[in-house]
Amino acid sequence: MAYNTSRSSTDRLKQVQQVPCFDAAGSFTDMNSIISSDSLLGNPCLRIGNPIAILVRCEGMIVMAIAQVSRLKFTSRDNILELPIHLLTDPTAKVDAQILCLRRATIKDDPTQVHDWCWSLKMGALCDDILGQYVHPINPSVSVHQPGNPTFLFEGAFLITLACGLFQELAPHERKNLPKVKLSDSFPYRSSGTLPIFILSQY
Amino acid sequence: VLEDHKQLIHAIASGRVERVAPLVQAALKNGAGIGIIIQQYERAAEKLYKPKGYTNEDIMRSIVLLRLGGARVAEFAHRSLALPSLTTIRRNTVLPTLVVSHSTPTLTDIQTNILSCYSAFGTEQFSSSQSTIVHQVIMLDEIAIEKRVQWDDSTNKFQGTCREHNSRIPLDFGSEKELDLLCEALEKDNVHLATEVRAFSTIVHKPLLICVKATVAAIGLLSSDPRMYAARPILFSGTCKKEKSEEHAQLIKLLLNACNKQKTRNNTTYRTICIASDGEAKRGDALAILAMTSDLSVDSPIYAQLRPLEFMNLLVGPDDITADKDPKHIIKRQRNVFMRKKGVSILDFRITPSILCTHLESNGVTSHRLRALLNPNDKQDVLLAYSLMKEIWSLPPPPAHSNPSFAQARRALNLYGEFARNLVLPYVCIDLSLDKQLIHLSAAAHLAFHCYRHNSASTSFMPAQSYTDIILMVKNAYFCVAKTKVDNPRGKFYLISLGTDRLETFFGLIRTAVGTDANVDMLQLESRASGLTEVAVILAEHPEWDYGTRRLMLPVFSKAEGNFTSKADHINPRDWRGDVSVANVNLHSCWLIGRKRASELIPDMESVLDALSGNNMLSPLGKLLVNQRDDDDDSLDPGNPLPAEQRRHHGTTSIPSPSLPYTHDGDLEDALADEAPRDNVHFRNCYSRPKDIKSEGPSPSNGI
Repeated sequence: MAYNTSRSSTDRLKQVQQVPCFDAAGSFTDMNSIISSDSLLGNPCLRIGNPIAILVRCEGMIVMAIAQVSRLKFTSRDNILELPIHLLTDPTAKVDAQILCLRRATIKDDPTQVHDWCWSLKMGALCDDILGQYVHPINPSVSVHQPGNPTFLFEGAFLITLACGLFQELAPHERKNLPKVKLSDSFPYRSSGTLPIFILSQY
Repeated sequence: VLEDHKQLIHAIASGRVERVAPLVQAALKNGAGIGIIIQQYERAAEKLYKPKGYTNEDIMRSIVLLRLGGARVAEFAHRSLALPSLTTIRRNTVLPTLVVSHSTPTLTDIQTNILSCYSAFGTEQFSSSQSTIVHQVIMLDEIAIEKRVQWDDSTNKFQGTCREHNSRIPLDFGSEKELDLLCEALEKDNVHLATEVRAFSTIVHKPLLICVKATVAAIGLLSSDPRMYAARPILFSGTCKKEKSEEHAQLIKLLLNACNKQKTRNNTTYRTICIASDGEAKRGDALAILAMTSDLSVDSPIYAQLRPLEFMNLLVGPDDITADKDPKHIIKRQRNVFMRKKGVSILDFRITPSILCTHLESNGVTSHRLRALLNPNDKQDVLLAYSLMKEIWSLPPPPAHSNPSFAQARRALNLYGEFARNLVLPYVCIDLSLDKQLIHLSAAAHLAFHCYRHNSASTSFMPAQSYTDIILMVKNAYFCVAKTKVDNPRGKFYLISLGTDRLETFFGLIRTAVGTDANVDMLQLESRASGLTEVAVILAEHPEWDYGTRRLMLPVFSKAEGNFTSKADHINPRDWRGDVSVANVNLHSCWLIGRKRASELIPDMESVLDALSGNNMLSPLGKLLVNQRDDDDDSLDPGNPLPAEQRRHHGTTSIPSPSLPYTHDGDLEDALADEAPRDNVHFRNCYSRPKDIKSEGPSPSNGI
């Protein structure tokens, strides 16, 4: 079907008011990024599908989780596709994310054995409306050693440092703002079925 | 004598008289000779004599002109084309006026309408070679009408009050007193009428007397014969939509009774095999009460065909009747599911509108097209839903070295795309044979079943109502084919004849019958529906006069073309090219092949399904989903909790009871509104419900 951008509304009253057929006031009005930089290349941006590190509350503990961004909101705009990182601190910036299930990396995942954790390609719980200031974008290595199944690789030491860093930035009164996640087989992350790790504190 | 004949030929060739045949016929009948005929011709040419002698065709032609064009056109045709006058037309109508029930419909009303629709000349002429059992479906839907009470001069009653509450006042107009009583009753309720239109009030809704919608039921014969294809309306009844499911079930039961009483006509048995409806929750509950009463009996002739189908729900009503859901409403709702705030969870992976957008964009869908495809305010466009589904199933598998999360999302979308393809194709791809259609439906049902069950995804995959409707639709298709195989083993079965499409087409005709006035009140509905049914009967007799709907001439989705055109909206049996003979279909094989196709897409599905016992597709998590309401109301804005009364209406109750007022006591549009995001402009600060907005002004065209 050929799409005609100038098609007017099929509602007779709206037709004479020259209201277009497809209402531009939908939530997808502006899917472009928010331009807030003069640089030709723009600022570094958080995009849909990007991995992030967040702190969550789980069974009375504060735990770090690796998640991926599934929705970005800024001011009144919903469903934007990217958000400059420096705008994450804005109180209206909110992120919906889904936790990635991590497992111990094997030699198959990373023959160099530099990384000891990887994404199992399984998805975990949903965390909605996380305030942007609690979101930390990360840039993990990508393993393409299993054909057709690329995955993210992580270093345990890096994750621990990151978790501590995030926790230190968190003021005690802000703990209640963290999203709550239910305990499951895959979360908090466990090293070969033993005790959960990346737990920072009781609250 | 020869001279006279030459003279006559000359006179006829001059063309001064339009209708020579009746003139000659009348003269011959009176024993006139050639001389008199010439004389009469000359008189007729001078407009001194008007030959009547109208043929059946003349009268029918004039009836169509009167019904479609109105009295002025008929009068013009009478004067300029020597067609019958208005009085003659009205004396010779082929169909008695249909009965619009002024109060609760009665068996007599419905039976009278059935007889009127089918007693008209020549509409029931199945040749002797065909089976004597003809299947029919009952279609139910509601049409929004003008809130106006009128006096019906033919019955001397007030028309336009709702069947639920109008027993409180006398409807017969005898004197001024009755009129006063009516006005008083309406006035008392007017306050609530006003608040009801702007529906964000917290006032408990009091009974309305003016009906906002008319329930219309129609019979559709399952026949490829274009003469029999059009819907024949048999019930019109005004409603204020405050009816409970049990009451609505009673109404449907009455319809079934009337159809059963009139099932044998002209040595042909008309068997009602299913009751079709759109996605409206109330009717869904009523259908569950009626058409899911007991397990399919071992003695039933279709038992042997359906028993081997694993996970198939075998609950049926009397005479093995099943409930049907309209495929187009189901597909429209699939598009709306993607616009939910929580998105769609496919095997644990959540697809939000943003993720879908990123993927479609990466596949070359332009941004303005995306805006149209994902516009949350355009929920009724069937073609848009088809197009979005097609864009999703056209997404290629993830590139080898793509970002891991992108690859994972693409895999989830590919899986959903396959589900959507299997769901949509049987209804639009005109090259498919019946067994292929059934295989596609089986694959779609198995995929939905697995995704709904996977890690108890349930409503995060899709709302329970949408899921149930898909399964009911697939179930009904299998049951109907089984019944056709038993009753008419050499017959054909058109899957597209199921659903309420024909009734929607009829609504379209009602709205377009008078160009300047798209809306009708109850009284106008009566006359327009009768007139249009009469036209349908005449056009069934003379298909050569019927041009058909203009868009029906366009090509549809076929294997070779692979693109949707607007024709994909209303497809009728004449367009279908695939082989739809039931003799070539084995239901068990179709079911199994469909399951195999689904398990090829999800490798671990087989092992999960093998371990299952006691579940069927309508109880994926162990509990029968029919008559259930989703518990989670996370589509609502947490900052603006609904008042208690409205929360109840939004289905937050955890103990479902069919006797409660409905979750969506409006139309399908209400159900859609709950599935759709709440955060667009219209829903942000108010809880106006689409039904109420819509009922205020002219109804938008349904898009179907």
